[in-house]
Formats: sequence, C-alpha cells, structure tokens
Amino acid sequence: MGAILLLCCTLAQDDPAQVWITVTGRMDMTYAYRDRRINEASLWTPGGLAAGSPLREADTFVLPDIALRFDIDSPAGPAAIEIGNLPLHFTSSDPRLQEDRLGSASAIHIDLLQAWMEPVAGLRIGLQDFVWDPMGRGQPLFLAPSASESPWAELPDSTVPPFPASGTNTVPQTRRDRLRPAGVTAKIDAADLTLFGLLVSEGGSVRLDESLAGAIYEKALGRARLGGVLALLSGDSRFVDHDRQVWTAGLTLSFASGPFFAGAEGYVQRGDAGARIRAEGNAFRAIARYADGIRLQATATRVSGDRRGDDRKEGRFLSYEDNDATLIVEGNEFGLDIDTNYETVQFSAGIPIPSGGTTITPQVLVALFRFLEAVPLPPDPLFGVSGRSRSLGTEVDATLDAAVSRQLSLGVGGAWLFGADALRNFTASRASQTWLATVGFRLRF
Amino acid sequence: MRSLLGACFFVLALAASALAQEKPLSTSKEMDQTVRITVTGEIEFDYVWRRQEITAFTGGVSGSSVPGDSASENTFEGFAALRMNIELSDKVSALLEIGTKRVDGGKINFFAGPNGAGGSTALTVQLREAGIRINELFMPELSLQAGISQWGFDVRNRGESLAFDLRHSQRFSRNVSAASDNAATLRNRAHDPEELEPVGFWLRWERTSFALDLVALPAVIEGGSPNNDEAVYALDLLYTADSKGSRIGLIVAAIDDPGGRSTVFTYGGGVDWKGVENFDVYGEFYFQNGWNNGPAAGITPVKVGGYAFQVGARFDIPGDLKPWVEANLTYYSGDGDAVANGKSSAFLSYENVHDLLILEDMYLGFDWDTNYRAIKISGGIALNAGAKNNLKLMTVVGLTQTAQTVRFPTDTTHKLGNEVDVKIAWEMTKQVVIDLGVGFLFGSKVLELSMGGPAAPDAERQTILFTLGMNLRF
Repeated sequence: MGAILLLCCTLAQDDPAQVWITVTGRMDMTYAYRDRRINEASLWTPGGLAAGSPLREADTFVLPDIALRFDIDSPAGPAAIEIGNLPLHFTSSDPRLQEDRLGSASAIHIDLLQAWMEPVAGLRIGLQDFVWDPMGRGQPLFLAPSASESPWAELPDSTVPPFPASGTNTVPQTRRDRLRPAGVTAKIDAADLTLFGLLVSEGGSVRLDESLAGAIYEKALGRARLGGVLALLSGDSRFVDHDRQVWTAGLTLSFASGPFFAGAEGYVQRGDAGARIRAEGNAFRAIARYADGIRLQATATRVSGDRRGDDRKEGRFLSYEDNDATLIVEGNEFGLDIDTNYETVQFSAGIPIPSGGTTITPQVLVALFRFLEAVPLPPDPLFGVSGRSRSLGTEVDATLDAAVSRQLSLGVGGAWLFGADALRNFTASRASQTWLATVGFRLRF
Repeated sequence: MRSLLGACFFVLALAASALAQEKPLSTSKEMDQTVRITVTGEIEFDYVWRRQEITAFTGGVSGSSVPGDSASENTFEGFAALRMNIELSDKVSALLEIGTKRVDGGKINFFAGPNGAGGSTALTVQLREAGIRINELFMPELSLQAGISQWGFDVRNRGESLAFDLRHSQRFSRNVSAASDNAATLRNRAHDPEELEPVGFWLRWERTSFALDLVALPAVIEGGSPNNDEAVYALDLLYTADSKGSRIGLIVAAIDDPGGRSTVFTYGGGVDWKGVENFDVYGEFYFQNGWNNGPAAGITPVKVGGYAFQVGARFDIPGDLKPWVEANLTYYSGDGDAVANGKSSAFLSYENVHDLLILEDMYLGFDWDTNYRAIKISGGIALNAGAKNNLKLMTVVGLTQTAQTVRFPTDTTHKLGNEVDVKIAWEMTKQVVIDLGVGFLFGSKVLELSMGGPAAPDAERQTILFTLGMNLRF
C-alpha cells in the first residue's frame, strides 16, 4: 500500500550514489472474543479436555500484527529489512494457543522478518517473504511459507491413540505459525519464470533441515493467465536419502474481463512422506467473482485427506497454505486453521457504501464444509472409536469494514459455525457449533 | 530521576536533512500515498549502585538475592526507544514505538545482564507503543485513541499520578490483603517492577477548558478467559480553571480482576490551584469499594475498602536561581488486622509516585505503594552551567511510616524510615540531561525486620542508593 519517503543522505539529488530508503509498515490490532468451543476443539483431543483446562473457557485477547519495513534503493541494487512481531508464532507451551497477545506478562518481542538484497535484478537473496497467490485473492492454497506453519509437523501426531491404525489418519490439527524462509529466489521476467530455493526451518544437520525448492511459470495470454508450479518439499534436505521428500505439481488458469474473474488451480503430490509412506495428496480450487460495486464470489475448494493409517499412503495434501477465507474453520489467526481433508463451497457478497467521507463495506460469507475422510464421533469411549462423521458444518461470517482513510480501516466481524458434528468428539460438552467475534483496525502506510 | 527533563523534542523526520533545511517532504511522484513520519527517540542509560539491603528485596541481577544472601550491586540500566508518529491526514495519525524496556515481566532488564550460562545477553527489542488516533470523530470535539493506551489520570500533570498511571505500574490487585503487611511484604513490593500495556480505546470530548474521557481497557493484563483478564473502565473529567493551568479533576473507575466477583470501584479527584502568584496548592482524594480475588484467581473474594490522599503546596521563590520549596503529605491506607477478616483496607492503585528514590521508586527501589504515609519536604534551585538555569539541584526529605502496623514474627512496627535524597539534573543541551541521584534511608525498622531482625547478620535499618545517568531525547 502506501509508502513513504525517505531521503537518507545529504548528497546532492543528482548524485548517482544517492540512497533512497522507503519506509512502509503495517499495524493491525484485533480484539477477539473466541468461544470456548473453538479453544477446546483446537487441541483435537478425543472426548474434549479435562475440567479445569483453561482452554475450556472463552478467550478474549488483542492480537497485534505489526511490521516496519525499510526498502533501500541504492546503486548496489534494492534491499530490504523488515522487523515486526510474529502474531502466529507458536513455540511455547502457552496453553492459550496464541502468543503475542498484548497485555501479557512480557511486552511483544520484535523480530527480524525480512532481510534481503537483489544484487542482480530479480535475484533476491536472504530472509524473505515468499507467497505465490495465482488467484490473486489473498488466500494462497499451496505456497505461502512466510504465512504458514510447517506441513511436516502434522505427520507424527496423526496416528497417536486412540485413533486406530485402521481408520482415518487425518486428525485435524490446529497449529498457528509464520515461518521465516531464507534462501534464494530468482524472478526471470523474460522467461515468465520464478525459481526458488529456500530453507524453511533450520534443523542443524542437513538431514534435519526443512527446505522448499522449485519453479513457477506464469504467462499472460490475453485476458487469461496460465501458471504452473513444480516444487520439492523436503522435510529432510539430503536429497539422496529420499526420505520426507514430496514433489508437487500444479496448474493454474485464470480469466479476467471487466468485473468478471474466474480461475482454477489444482495440485498433485508424489514422493515420500516419511518412513517410506507414499505421498498422494491433491488439492483443487475454483473461483468465480463479479465485482462492479457489489462484489459476489463463489468458491469451491477440495483438499485431500488420508483414508487409512495402516497403509503405506499419505493422502493428505501437504502445503504451506495461507487460506483463511473463513474466520473459524480455515482462519489461522483466531480459528481452527483446518487446511487438509476437507471440501467446501463458499458464497460471499459485499457492497461498498460511501458514507460521510468513508466507505463502509458490509460482507456476508456462507461456507458449507465437509471432511473428506470421516473423523471420530461420540459416544466413543475415550480409548476406542466407533462412530465417525464427515460433517464439518456450515459457517456464516459477517464483517463490516469502514475505510477511515486510504491507509486506515476499522473492522468488526462475527462468525458462527453450526452443524459441525465432527467437533463433538473433541469438546467435553459435545458441541457442534461455535462462534467468534472480532473488532479492530488495520493500518497500512 | 527519570525524565527530569521536560520534553526537549527534537523532531528528526526521516527526511532529516531535508526538514532541517526547511525543504518540503521528499518523495517521488510514483509514490502517491506518501505520508509524513516523524521519528523521535529516547535513550536512558543509568549507572545504579544499590546497597545489599536493597538488592535483598529487588532480587538483584540474579533475581534471586534474598536477605542473608545478597550483595551490593552496580548495574547499568535503562532503555532505548525509537518512536514513529505517522500522520495519515489532518485527523488521523498513528503511533508506533519499538525499543528495549527498562523493566518487563516483573524484573529489571540490565544492560549486559547474565544469560545464565556465564555470558551476557543483549536486550530484546520489544513493542512499546502501538495505536491510532482519530480526531474530530463525528464532531469536532471528539477524538478516539485505540490500541495501547496512554491514558492516565494525573491532576497535577507532573508525571507522578497518585492512583492511575498504568504505564508505570503493576497489576492492580498486588496489594490485596485481608490482613496486615508482614515479613514478606517488602519483597513482594520491591520484586515486581512492571510497565503495563493496557489495550483498548480512549474517547475524549474536549471543548475549551473541559475534557471528558471515557476509557475502556479490557486487556490491561491478558489472562485468556475474560474472567482472567484485568480490565479498566473509567470516566474522568478535567477542568482547567485558569491560564496558569489550575485544574480540577474527577474520576470514577471500575477495575475488573480475575475471578467471578472481583470488581473494585474507585472514586475521587483533586484540585491543583495556582491562583495565587508563585503558589501551587493541591490536594487529591480517592476512596474505593468492591471485591477482589487477590493476586491469584479462585481465592475467596475479599471486600476492598481503601482510600488515599495527598495534599501539598509548592512555592516558587522569585530570583535568578529559581529556588522553590514544597511540602507534601501523602497517605495510602493499609490493613492492620492481625488475622485475615475478609476485608482489605489497603488502597489499590496504579500509582506512580517516585519522589523518594529508595522507598517509592519502582525502577530503583522498594516501590512501597500502599499502607504508607509520608511527609515530604523538598526544595531546589537552578544554577547556570553553560546555559541559564540548566543545572537543577534538589533535595527531598521524606519522613515516612506505614499507615497500619506491619507484623513480623517477633515484632511489629510502623517505622518505614526516613529518607534523604539529593538529585542533580544537568541539561547539557535541549536533548541531553545528565542525572545524578543519591538516596539515603535510615531508621527503617521495617527494613531491619524484613531482613530477619536485629540478630540477623546482614540486617540494617539503613541503606544507600546511588545513580548517575544520561537521558537523551531527540
């Protein structure tokens, strides 16, 4: 969004050695009221949590998302440094499943978010944000490591008792994080190609590093846009080990004409998901949008899950997604962040209304969710599972944004998830519905 | 000692050189959303020497010093901060400040402090301020601030609020007690430095001499469940009576603490009258009622019924050296019951009184902030040291007692001691102040008994603190 200036040195304006520093930033602050059932279900513990657990209570907090970025433009090429907090970074044993709340015992820590340079045009080296959003809607389905958690950490947890090896291996998990990928990306405009090789998580030994490498091809064809990706996700970066190395191939196609936009993307995975288990995940999404005053959008998404825990296949789609289209089910800031083994159809409508110098935009979204592979249901005894459900329910989100200026907007939102029978085995009260409310502001400068 | 310098605000816009040359904001035409950011900052760097009777209760560098196992310590303390004021329009602005914190999480952050493995550790950069401000919201007189709040209630506006300065104070309930203070009290108060980070919104309606504030801070201390949060809701009125800045202030506040029945209401206000030439006469009074669950949720609530007041007068004597004298009586109620009776009479507050370096200052000393009465006599002059009246000398004598008896296993006492402080602030430039302070506390039976009584080898009724530091604001 908007930028600001910054002349940094006192050299004459025509001095070729002059360095320009542009400062930009963001300051988002959201007060959230999270229903106790979201908290409890976030641990996905069969039977729910024991009495006395803090996660069995509703939760209120203020989540900041703050960053300050310095873009340095010099004869040596562009470079950037960004500092800020990591609102979704989840590294402690905090039972509230959310760090970086304002008002906590210790003030929010400021971390290094980006530090990169481009010695050659398009060649970016260093710690950097990396997001590929072929649909341009801000909800990348596959490749956004700087806004996502690691896909690998889910694997060991999915077969723990009481889930039987014969049943689904796809236990939902809620893990919030923002990884900080470091490495090299190269954008070759002449060939419509982007190459990337990134260390996503440092494990010490090469065998324990998590990395991401591949290529993206994107080509404009008139009003259409064609894209393809080939990526290697490595939980073990030693290529010769062939362990925890998953290849992903994807195709995207979009078409934009005036107020209309339509697009589709699909991905398939092959490789070793660890311990000689074959990766067979896939994902697909289609979007149709009309925006001419009123904004209407329909989205269909399918992300595969795993059917059996006792076979040699991993059916879940492993990704660095940042798809937070719905506040509760998909949202990683306040919701459950379900990102695999589900399908959904979503309809949304919004309309900007000019009002007294500001623009108010109410929006409603209705999303129908379903697990692809069934998850356990009550009345199972704690260490045995009999019933199962695919019902993930229906979510209705209503938001209202007021643009105070080009940089600042105020927002209020509410979300209600109901008919989610699959949640019953993960809440002590056997709940199938839950809700969330937020209010806050969003600043870009 | 802290912030003795008034705001010597030197604006360093990011386009520093350009502004200095009175050039307009520099940008390029493709940056059509350029906004002005004013960057200011502050560095506070103090050398502090505390005798062992102080570190025994503040915890010292290790955080674990106790009576009988403490030593005098000299440390470097302070912070560095960078503040950005982002002007989005004539009516909308934002504030962002990052830096280190002098105290955080109940402990002092020392420069080159230990890392627990034989080395030292760097101070962490943290978020200090983040918020937006919208002026002329719906009407010209109304403004809104949202985010980390800078609200406080300080009738005298001298940076020493008697009851409401959340940014330089600890949790509200830390002094809840249904029985008298005891052998553990001094450590509890001295071992808990904190700068709260209250979040919420602050609405101000202001017209000429009236200002009405409505404050909602639901996350002063974040506890997860709303039942476990500490929240502050307040309504205050400030009336500026004359051109000299005489003020009248009234406030009603509700502080909600963890627990089902844990809300304390505080009512009060004060007058700061500067009507007679060179005289500043002031008085404040607060009382409170309600219930509180104490520092830990789940405990049976106690009934709260404390009060506090201060009265004082300052006289600025005409003369080139700008001499002044001031007398002050401060009183915070305490609880005197030998056995817990379900009622806490100690005044609960977010106070930030720090006239006395050892007894009152949260950053340097014991921060004894309730069950307290003090008569403070102070005075000072301003000498010329390279500039007019830029070398400020002051001294303060504090005669203090506890309001109610402090009970120890072998004795009881009111004697908190007498303190004499000498402070010097040399304003070298508009940006730089050199501070020096010496504090001497003597006759403190509370200190002696808290260290184990006269028979304990290290127990003393007196102690000393010395600090020499620098404050830079730009």
